[in-house]
Amino acid sequence: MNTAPSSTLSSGSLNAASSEDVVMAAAQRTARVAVVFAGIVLALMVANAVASRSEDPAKATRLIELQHQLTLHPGDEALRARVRNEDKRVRQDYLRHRDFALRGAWLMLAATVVYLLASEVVRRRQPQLPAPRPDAATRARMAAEATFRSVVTVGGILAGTLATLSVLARHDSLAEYARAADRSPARTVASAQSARDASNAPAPTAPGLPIASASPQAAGSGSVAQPEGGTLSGPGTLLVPMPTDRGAPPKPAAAPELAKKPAPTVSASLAPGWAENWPRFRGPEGTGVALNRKPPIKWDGAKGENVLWKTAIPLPGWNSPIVWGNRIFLSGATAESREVYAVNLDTGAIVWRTAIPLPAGVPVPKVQADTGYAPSTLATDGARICAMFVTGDVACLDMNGKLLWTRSFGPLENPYGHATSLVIFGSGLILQLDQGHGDDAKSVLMALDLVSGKTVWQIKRDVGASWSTPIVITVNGSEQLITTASPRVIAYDPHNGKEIWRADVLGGEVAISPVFGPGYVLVANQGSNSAAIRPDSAGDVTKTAVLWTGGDGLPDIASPVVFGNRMLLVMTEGWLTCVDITTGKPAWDADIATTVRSSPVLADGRIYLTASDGVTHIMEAGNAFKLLAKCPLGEEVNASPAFVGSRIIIRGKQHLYCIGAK
Amino acid sequence: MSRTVLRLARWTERGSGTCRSLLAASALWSVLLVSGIVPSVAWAQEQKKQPPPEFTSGYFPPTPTEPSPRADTFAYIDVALLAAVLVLGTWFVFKMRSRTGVRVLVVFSALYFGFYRMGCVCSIGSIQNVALALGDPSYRLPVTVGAFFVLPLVFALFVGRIFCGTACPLGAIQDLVVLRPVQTHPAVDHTLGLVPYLYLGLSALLAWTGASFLICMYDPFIPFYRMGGAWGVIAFGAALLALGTRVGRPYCRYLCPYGVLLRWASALSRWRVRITPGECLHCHLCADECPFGAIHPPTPAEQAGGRQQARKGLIRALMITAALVPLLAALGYAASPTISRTHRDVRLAERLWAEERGRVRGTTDETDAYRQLAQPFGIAYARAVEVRRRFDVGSALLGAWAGLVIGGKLILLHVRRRREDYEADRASCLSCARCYMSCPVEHERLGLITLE
Amino acid sequence: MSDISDTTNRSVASADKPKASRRDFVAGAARFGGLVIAGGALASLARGSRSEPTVWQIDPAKCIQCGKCATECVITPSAVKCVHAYALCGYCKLCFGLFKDKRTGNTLAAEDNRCPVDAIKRRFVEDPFYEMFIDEPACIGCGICVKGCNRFGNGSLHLQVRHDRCVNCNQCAIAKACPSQAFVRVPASKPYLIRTLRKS
Repeated sequence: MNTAPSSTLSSGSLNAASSEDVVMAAAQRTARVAVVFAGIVLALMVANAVASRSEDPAKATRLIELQHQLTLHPGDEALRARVRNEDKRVRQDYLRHRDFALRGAWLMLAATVVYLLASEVVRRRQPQLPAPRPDAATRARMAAEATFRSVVTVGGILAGTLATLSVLARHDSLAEYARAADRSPARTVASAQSARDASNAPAPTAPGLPIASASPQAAGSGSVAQPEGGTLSGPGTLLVPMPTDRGAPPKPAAAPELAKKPAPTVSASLAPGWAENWPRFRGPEGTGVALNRKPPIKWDGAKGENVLWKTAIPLPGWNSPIVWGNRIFLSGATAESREVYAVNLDTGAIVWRTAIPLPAGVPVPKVQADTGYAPSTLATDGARICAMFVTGDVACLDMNGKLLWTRSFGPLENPYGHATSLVIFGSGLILQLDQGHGDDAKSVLMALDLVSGKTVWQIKRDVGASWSTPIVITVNGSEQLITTASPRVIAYDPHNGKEIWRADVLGGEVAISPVFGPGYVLVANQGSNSAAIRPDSAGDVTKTAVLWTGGDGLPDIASPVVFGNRMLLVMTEGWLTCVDITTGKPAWDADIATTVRSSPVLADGRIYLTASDGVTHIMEAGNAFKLLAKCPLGEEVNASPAFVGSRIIIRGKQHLYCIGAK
Repeated sequence: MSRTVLRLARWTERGSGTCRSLLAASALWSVLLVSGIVPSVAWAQEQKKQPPPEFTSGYFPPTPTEPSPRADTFAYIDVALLAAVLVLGTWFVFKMRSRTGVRVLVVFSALYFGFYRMGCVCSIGSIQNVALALGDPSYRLPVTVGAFFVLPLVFALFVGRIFCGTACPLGAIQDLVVLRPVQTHPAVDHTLGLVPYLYLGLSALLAWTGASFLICMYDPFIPFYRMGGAWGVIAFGAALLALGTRVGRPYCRYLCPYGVLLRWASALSRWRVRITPGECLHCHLCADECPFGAIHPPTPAEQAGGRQQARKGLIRALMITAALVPLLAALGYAASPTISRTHRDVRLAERLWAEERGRVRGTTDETDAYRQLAQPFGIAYARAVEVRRRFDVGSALLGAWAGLVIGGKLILLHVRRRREDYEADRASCLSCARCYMSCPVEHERLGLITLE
Repeated sequence: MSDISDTTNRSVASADKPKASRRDFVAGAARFGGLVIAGGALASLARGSRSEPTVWQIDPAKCIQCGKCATECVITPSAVKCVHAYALCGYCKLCFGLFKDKRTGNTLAAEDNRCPVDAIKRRFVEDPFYEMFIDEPACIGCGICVKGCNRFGNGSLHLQVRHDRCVNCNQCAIAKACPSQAFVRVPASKPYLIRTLRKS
């Protein structure tokens, strides 16, 4: 084990043999070669690393651009070949770089080891004579003062660094937050001391009334969530009689026990002035039925044929126009700003526009482009206009555009963005704030006082996020608010929020609003069923009052429309299925081969169905598919049109159109 | 019904446009499902967009494989090997006085703890695990990590820094590249020697608050063992290795935070490395040989007035310390908001706050993710405030610690320890056994030379 | 070779150096105290059943598929791979983990294939079902397919740290970079967070 010192000493005698010279020279040469080699490998590896940075296969910009070009020109076979070649090149390059880096690392290691070994040999063979040198102790003493100074300097540097960091700490937003939290008792959920609890706490709820807790077994055991709060005064109330053309109540076929009770009378619940206006999403009834209208059957937006006027709407929004008197109301919003517009029905001029401020502290959620920031359709009772935005903010304005009150319910936990439209019943604004997954008790239904904006009643809903809009119907003379969500339809007393009945017939992502037919509530949604439910019993009626369920042509965006004893279901792909509402069996189906997101409207015995490309398909509301006309608008349309008098108001992506015979 | 199914199926095939084909596909599923072709599974409640099918061909969905991590047993083997290296090292350093034996262990440690185990977990990094376990009750210190933390310290309490000389993979790679070491100036040694203390304080603070494992992130040699890593760290490591050919083990002396703990333990050690097997000849060959400046010469004879001067210096040092500790503690407290930004929760909350108020344009990946997971903002703020509180305490302590370290160094500079002979400083000696063969007395003991 | 240890010399020297022996005593006491403190602290830190080693894993519920797993891992290619929870899969013929949403056809070629490294494959099961599976050595963990599957499908594809590749860094480099804090330490005995069908 002691070869090293002996060699040191023997070489120290300077008795150098020629063989040792050879070894020494070889070792020196080896060390030099190893260094040069390592240097070359290092340079290559750096070059490789730089090159491979631009070759991340997941971010190959050129390839992505080529692929994009190909989607624009799908027939271009040369381009297709280029895409494939480029993809191959990118992947080959990527793998080559990867292999190179690994091989380079090993080569570097090998070179380093060789260098170290060679240097060691050289070191051992160099003569090392012990040579006493001047006293190191004196040197140490001389260094002491320098040491003291430099250590003090370190202290100074450190103090300086910390002082700089403290200066940088001036803009302390957390302290700002803590102060804000202290000021606002409503935000205690976020206060510092409850940090641990906060992680388990539910989403911050609106200030005001406590929300009735729905027991998780509500569905099964029949114990039903109870609302908190007062009551709304009724619609006021001019009950419009059922139009007779809707046919006789169907005979229950599937559930004979239902036949024992006489069929209920089911009609829309309308307030004065509603019937002739278009006060909410899908018209007075909320079912897409336009009573006593004489809309045109021919127009062409691009040519201006039967277009009375066309107005650009400043901010985008997918909400549908509503109409009261000679005013059209709609909203638009971006992540930064949102506005409510009033448009003159006769001239198309924007009469007023009111900016709705973003309340501080509520984030603007990320939304998908086809949800936008203003997906919810407005509602009016003729005295006020209410608007809701995807952030969960509700604003109420008077008819002149003056902001009366705002409420904020955001952020709402909704994967695409909250899109349920507003419903006015009597003196209240009804909000269906469905969020989450259903088992997390986040969804809530509430009524706000139209005058003050205060919560009148609210009730928890054991359903997941939904995008449907409820309707108010009258069943045997008393009102019911029908809501659809996953997994159930629930009817409430709109006066006080008490649950009346529920039926677990839905599922998936419910965006389809309910409709009603003679004696029945009708629902449908992709991912589950279509179903007809008798609304005249209480409790969980899943097994007792569901007349039929069906699976044909289930829609997922556009809501159905009922005519006679038929219900038209529209799939987004343009697949139409007309279902017999007495049996649930399809009467006819048709493929209009276009994308449809707008809901159909029944007017003057015809179905108006506007496709996304702006073409309105006008069909006969009959026992077979009969296309009467196709009227293009020349602009993308996803909103549902409003029908008033002899005019149709259609909201395109950028413009608002008024269609009517000139 | 079957007509509808077929048409939908045909349509799916046609598939022009995403939305269309997607929806057609799901419509097809709905039809299949509701019509009873596919018996109903509870997928609607699962919020699944496509129902898992039931197969008629006897196919059964396989289970995803779960290759297991390195078995627990191997972690214990690591601990056993560490203990074995330490025992062997002690034997080589104290009994055999064999540099060759130590070198074998160094190569073994570089190969096993370094290249094979890729340097994780190491004793240096385990400081952070201990600090995290102290700060975060939900994190329990794994027994093996605890052993890695404590074994070298226990050995140091008895036999000094055997760990540094033999078992540490970071030390090993540096030890292998010590080629032509130069002696560093004592002022440099003392000044840079403060850095490990500060690094220890900072990394313990960051680990205790759960911000990050600073030591691991900037471990300069681990990229070599793993053959990959961040470019900055690789460059840093390469620079340290290049420096290490001339200045022995720069990381160990001027950075290593674990070295601080080992210094303390080693200063109390029961046994110490003795350079000469006999009587010291005061030839200072060993001090020249030591690449780490750990061998101190005998204290010179006291000069006239030296004692008084030393006392004056000591008083000055004490006064500086007394001023520095509260000053740095206060500054540390004041800097806490900035220091706490090393924690992601604080960064997230501040960013969210700024975005909400329109003080910044656009969003970051972090805030996007937070929004995407749809958590209430209050939680982010509350978490950040909680973290900030820890930093308020921790930063003040860090400042005080820095003051103590600097003051302590100043005081120690004025405390004279008497040395009769050339001695290895207990705290700084890395037990590399290089000095043994530089001592003429050792050569005589081995019968290689005869001293007159 | 003679036994040369410090103790022998010291015991000889200590006779005429009483100061040194006091120092020895203090050092011994401190040593003992240090041992007790270290032992006690470690015992208290390591108590309980969860003191077993931990490994890093991705919580699929938090993952937002930002793509950092592919670039931040200390090993190349990343130890994070796409994992397929077959039980959740819809076995779609038109798998959106496999196919781009903007396609010009339904081929598996570059223009329609979502995966940048062609690591997601399929095999025919029965009409109209296809089983997707991951070619793990090829997979770079970019999460592009996961994004597609999450957006349009059931989310049966998701990213997981594969422990046959992971070197289990004390501070995972991806965890440090992960914007959604999806990386968590899990006990080494339960090293995966693979999605399963939720129990109803």
